[in-house]
Amino acid sequence: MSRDAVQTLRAGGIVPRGAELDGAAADRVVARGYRHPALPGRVVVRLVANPTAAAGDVEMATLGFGEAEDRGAVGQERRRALGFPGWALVHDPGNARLALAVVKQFKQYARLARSKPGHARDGIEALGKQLARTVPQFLPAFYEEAGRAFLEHGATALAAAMFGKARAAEAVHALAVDEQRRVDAFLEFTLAGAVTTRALTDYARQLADRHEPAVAYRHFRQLCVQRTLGGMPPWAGMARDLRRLARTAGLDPDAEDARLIAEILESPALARAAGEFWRAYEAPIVALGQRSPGVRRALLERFPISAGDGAELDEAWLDLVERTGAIEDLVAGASDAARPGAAAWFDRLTAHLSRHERTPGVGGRALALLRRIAPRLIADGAPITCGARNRVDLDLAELALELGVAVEPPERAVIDLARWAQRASEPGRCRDPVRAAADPRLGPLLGEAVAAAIGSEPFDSVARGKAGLRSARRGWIEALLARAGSRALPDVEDALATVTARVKPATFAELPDLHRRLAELDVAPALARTLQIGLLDELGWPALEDAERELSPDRKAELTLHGGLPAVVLAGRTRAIAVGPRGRLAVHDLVIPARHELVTARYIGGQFLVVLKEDWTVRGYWSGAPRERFESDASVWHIPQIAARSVVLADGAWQEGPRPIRAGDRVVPQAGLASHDGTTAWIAALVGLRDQMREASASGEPGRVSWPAWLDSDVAPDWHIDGKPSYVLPAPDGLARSPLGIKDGVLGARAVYRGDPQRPAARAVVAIDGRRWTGPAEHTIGGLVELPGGELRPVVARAVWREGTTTSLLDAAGAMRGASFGPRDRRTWRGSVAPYPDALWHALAARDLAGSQRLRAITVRDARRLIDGLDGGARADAAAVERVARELPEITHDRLRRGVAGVVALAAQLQRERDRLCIEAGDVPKYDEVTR
Amino acid sequence: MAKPSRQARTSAPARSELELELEFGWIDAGGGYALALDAGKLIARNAKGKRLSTVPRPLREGEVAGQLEALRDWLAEHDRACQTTVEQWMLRSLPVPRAVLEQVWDDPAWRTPLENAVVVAVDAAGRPDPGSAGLFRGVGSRGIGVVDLEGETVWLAAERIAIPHPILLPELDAWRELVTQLGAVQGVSQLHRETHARPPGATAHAIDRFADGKFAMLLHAAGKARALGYRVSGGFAVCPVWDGGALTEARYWIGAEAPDAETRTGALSWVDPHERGLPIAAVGPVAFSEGMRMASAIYAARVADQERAAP
Repeated sequence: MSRDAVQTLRAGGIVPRGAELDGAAADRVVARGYRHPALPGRVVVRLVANPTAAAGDVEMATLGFGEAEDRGAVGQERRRALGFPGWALVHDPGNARLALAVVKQFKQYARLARSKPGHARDGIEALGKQLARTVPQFLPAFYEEAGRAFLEHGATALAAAMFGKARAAEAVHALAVDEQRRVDAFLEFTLAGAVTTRALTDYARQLADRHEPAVAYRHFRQLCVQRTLGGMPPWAGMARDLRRLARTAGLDPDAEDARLIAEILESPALARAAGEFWRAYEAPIVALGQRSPGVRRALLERFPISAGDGAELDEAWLDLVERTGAIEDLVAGASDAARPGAAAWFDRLTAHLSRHERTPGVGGRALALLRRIAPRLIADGAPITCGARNRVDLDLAELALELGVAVEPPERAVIDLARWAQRASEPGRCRDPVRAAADPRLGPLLGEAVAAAIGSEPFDSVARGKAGLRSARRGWIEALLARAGSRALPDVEDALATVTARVKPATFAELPDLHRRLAELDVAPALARTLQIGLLDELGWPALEDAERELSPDRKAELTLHGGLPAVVLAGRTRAIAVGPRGRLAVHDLVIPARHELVTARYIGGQFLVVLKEDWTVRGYWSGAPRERFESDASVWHIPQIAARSVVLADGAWQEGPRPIRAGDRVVPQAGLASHDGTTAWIAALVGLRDQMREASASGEPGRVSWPAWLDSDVAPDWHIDGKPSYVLPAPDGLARSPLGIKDGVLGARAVYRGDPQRPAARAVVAIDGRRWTGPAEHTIGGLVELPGGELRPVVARAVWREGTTTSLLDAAGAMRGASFGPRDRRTWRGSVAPYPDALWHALAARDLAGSQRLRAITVRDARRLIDGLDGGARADAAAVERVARELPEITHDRLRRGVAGVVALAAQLQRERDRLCIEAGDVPKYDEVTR
Repeated sequence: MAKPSRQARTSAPARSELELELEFGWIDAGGGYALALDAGKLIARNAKGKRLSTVPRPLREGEVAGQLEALRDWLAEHDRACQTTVEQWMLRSLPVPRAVLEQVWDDPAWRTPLENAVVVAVDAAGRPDPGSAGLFRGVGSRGIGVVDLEGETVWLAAERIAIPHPILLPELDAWRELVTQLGAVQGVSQLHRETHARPPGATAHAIDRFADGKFAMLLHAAGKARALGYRVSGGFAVCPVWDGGALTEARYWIGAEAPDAETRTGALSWVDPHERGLPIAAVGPVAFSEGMRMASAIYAARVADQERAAP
């Protein structure tokens, strides 16, 4: 009975009144009942330790409870550290009433610790001053109790301040101190994080000043041991403080170190000890480990980390482990079942050593360790991963394979060759990965890694001459050239840009046959594919083209396009013309004050809304009162120039953002409209990781997430709507045909994908008029456009913030881009007023059916005749137009001819670019020939 | 066995003024007004004894109101303390003197966690008697009244009573069924507590499944641990459990840097009574289960790692 009673006591339980306790310190527990006039019929029962029962009664009285009903002793519990006022009641009963007198206020302030910690502190300090005048001996217990109240609410800094006041009171009032009580208090507050390591070091000094050296050492050592066992990692200066006290006490510091280590070595907190700790206690730990297999096993289990640690800690720790002989244990093999295998240990070590983002992979230490334990790994036949967090350390894997150790990389592993190459100077690093390249699991990873690293330094230099990387580099360049050779102009352009940026002459020197293939790269088939797929210039907007002619007769003035359907605004320096799908709407002479620039313009309800900026201040005016400028706090970067989605509501209001704009509203346009069904507006919303739509109220407040009815209809079960390209909008009045499709006065497209939004498995697009397309997911197809001859082409639109939208036409299968039209490169839309984003394509119409049909039928021979002999230089554009007129007489529309000529000039330039690259990458004599 | 007044109140229909008078403890607040607490809410009545729909402002800010509010907060704290104490008796398999249970039973704060808990008698040698198990239903002159699995009322007169952890209850499903049949509600999470069985053949000293959980501040992690009823010691959230005759403490690393610094959680491990690390194979079932419960609850409050969540 007595034994389990003692254990129950220690676990914080209550044992019966009569239990024998073998002398363990215990207090009687009494039950006390309290009644309150506000709680009729209710009794509150508290279990309290007998010595502090009076304090409990006072506390209950402050809350308005009546006299306590003593229900007698019900058991015994472990004697607890006395707080306040308990300490006063037990140690100084004569003055206890002075303590009880402040209890009521103290409890009130303690309750404030959570909501108003500052007030709580002020109140407690005032009470402390009161106590200091009469019973200063109560202050330590009083301030510690206050500290506990703050700790309970996580106010560690205030708790530390209270703890400091308790210690200061001892010094100021020269109080008699029960050192054991003080050590306990230090322990309690240090485990709660409210004692700094500096305060601990100070305490060590105080102990030395106040006590016999042996006593001081005993107390401080006890604090250090219990602090560590209690879960606080040893601080960096612990060894120094302890040893100083031990020496003063005339003890053998080495023997004391050994004793300390034996007590704390197996505490989990040591896994977080700093490097200094392992260095300081290396000798005793090694001595202990050499004697005890259990300690060696414990050391192998441990992979210490600490805040802000680095290679220094790892080195210190591995030194120590090796010197105990623990590695020999590992190599000797599992002698008992509880020990993890060598492979599992090495994987944990690899993960541990590469835990820092900044220091990739493991150090030379791990390579050396691998050599040592390789025989065991081979004998066990267990593979190692050679990586951590899905990143494989290539040199480690190569060494493992060389030693005959099986390697199994983690799932979805990657190799970072850029980082690999940075370590070329370290011993044993940047080996030729011939075995990894031949490995069925690592080989493909190496291929992907080369694609990411090629062209960067020091990778290229390090990779030179390494057979293990040559095949991967070859594969990557081959794939690049193959794509350029089988696709249209955008892929040729990308390939040449990639070669320029990433494939150096030295790389080609190692792979001469690939250099030959670059020289043979034929641009004519790519041009033919581009023209077969189609150009934006096959569609036109006559009214807008008329406006362009009027604003810039010589086509030299810089014009900008603003707004959206049904009213775009073409602006020159002084005049703006609003144009709808069917013709011109209005003209306005811009009123731009000094130092102001045009940001954008809209045509709304018969007036122009003109938005200007002066530095970063945004101002606007309505053309009805051009001198009445209003200021807006909108950021100029967030005002769209061309609206992605826009609509004119029944009352004439214009909407392209969350709220409609009416003529005269002192606001500037804002993006956001995603759809409109004539009555309800939807705004774009990213929900989870999916682009969706949210209903918006008339005032622009976001509502529930939903889809307009048509978008949501007819979507197969595992397909999802892509809310970015999908939309429905009322068609502008009078619009009867649209190359993107129109039905019953509604415009719309539904883009859907199957699977994960980040990695869809397939895509499909349905236009409002029922035309549909299904295909691969490589390109984010958002719509379908009908060319003049009736052919359908998938469209990809990519919006870049502050730059604009670039659209691409793809071949019918959606596999390759034919041409891209965007603000960056004018050469693909020479015949158009602007690189219209697809939102405006509804207003476009066929220009030249015969010319378009000729483009669909273009051959490689035709293409070659178009580019051969075309030079660059000032007259390049005019020469290209003449060439197109000569070779393709079926094209009669001037703007289509200009458009085709722009693409032809681009192709000719790419051909020249190819030749330049070949010469640069070629052998030296050729290079000399050119420069001469 | 009196029902707690709170339950009686909710079932009562419209009440007369006399009933109002008896039900609430009205405290005179001056000027003929009186204040009382109704299920933790401050209420007032005027000189005619009519209950007011709102408490007039001068009363609300007066001293009586302040005292009643302090009382209400204290009672909430008392409820929580009783709940925690009873839960600790269960987690640590601490036998409790029968006298303690008998004396606290008429306080609803104690009765709520105790009522309908499965309890067993503990013999003089400290061994629980599984055959005596029953749902705690009340106290009387013959001891602790329980309902056993057959549905019979039995009186336990042993000097000590224990509340076993569910992982130690052999007929857990049968008890769950009984509780459902009786329509009984457990105030302490015992029969429906989530438990974690120790994986067989574990060789490690720690569980890494809850490691690397990010908290913007250590304060948040420590606050979460405390809110869940766990103590924080050093850099660990700890859960001491009396298991198999020894005190085992589960420790889950939450960090020991400055309270307002970012922290990442570490391993979950266990220590023996001397605070030395234990291999998982040596951890008792209750200590293992409760350690896992603690770590998963704290880990669940981590902040999502934006860098990793982003595409």
